[in-house]
Amino acid sequence: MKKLIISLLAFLSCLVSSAGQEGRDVRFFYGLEWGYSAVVLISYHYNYTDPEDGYRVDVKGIDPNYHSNGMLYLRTGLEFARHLSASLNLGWQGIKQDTRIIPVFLRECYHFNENRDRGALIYLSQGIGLHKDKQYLSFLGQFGGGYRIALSHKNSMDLLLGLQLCTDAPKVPSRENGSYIPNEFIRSSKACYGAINLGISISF
Amino acid sequence: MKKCINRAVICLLLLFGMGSIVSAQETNSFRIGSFHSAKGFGVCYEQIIDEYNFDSFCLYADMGGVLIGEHSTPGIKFNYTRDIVFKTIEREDKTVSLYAGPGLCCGYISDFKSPKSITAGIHGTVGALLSYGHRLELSFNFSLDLAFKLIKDDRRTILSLYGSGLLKPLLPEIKILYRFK
Repeated sequence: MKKLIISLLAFLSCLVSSAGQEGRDVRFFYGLEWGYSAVVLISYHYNYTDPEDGYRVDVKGIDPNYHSNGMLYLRTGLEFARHLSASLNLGWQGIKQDTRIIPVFLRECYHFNENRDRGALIYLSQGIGLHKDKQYLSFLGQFGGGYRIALSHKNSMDLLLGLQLCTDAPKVPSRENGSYIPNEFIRSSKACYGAINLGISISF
Repeated sequence: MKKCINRAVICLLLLFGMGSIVSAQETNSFRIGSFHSAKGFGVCYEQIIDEYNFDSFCLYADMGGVLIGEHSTPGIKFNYTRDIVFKTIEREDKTVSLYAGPGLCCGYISDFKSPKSITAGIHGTVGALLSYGHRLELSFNFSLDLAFKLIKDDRRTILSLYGSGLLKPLLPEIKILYRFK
């Protein structure tokens, strides 16, 4: 985790110094983003020993599965070049029913307007999600687009729509009685959730 | 003589009263927008009375418990406040108006793990309105409810304190508003 934070800070400082050399305007911003995340697809792979009969069970599948979640991020970043900005985001987000993470991710934005103050944009995010109740690090990726509304020359509001993929190591459901397989019988549990995110971001 | 003095006093009082009415900055301006919070999502309407006063009406789906899986369906809540602007801060690119005000709340909402019930009480708000010189405005505020809920327990109906209203003030509310006129 320490190495990741140091790498991210080093990356951001390189961007600032390179932008300075090119003579572009560098502007620091901070903001808030919130929104709605609808999980629509779950891809899973469970490998466990059946507690009843001792046989190895390997289950894979992709199922449609709808669940509503919320998300809230605090953002801080730099607009460092024409058309480009990057931000470090930290927040709270639901990824599945009864599963919430603390996401920490880097987002890069390409603004079609070279002043980055209004107009269409596209973004790419990558990072991790920390779980409060288990020792597992989720990987988070987002891709989407949006539209920036200029509130003033310093403040703006973004309307965002995107897709998200997030990995998890969920509890393995038992096929028989609707409960979960005890952890000591699980060899591997991997899942990936696909979601559609709808968000509003305000930057100052 | 006395009659003349009395008539003069009456005329002066009438003139003063009419002057007060005319000089009050009454407007037909209003704002309509959306309400966003961890408490819920909905719509709001603000009637601007004058430079320092506006009435705020919010109707939203109360998501208490839904976002953390305790309930499956949201409730519905209505808030009204008479907001008073007590300080205005002029910045380079915006005007920040700090406001606070009392009001009323009512709804059919859940209180933590308890099922939904009819709730009503006093509502208070404190916040900041950001105006950018055009019609789009933002409002950030915190609110507190001192309310009571009706709980049906076997054959009795009990009036109980709405606990969420005292613990949820820490959840911020954001309104994105469009001003008309």
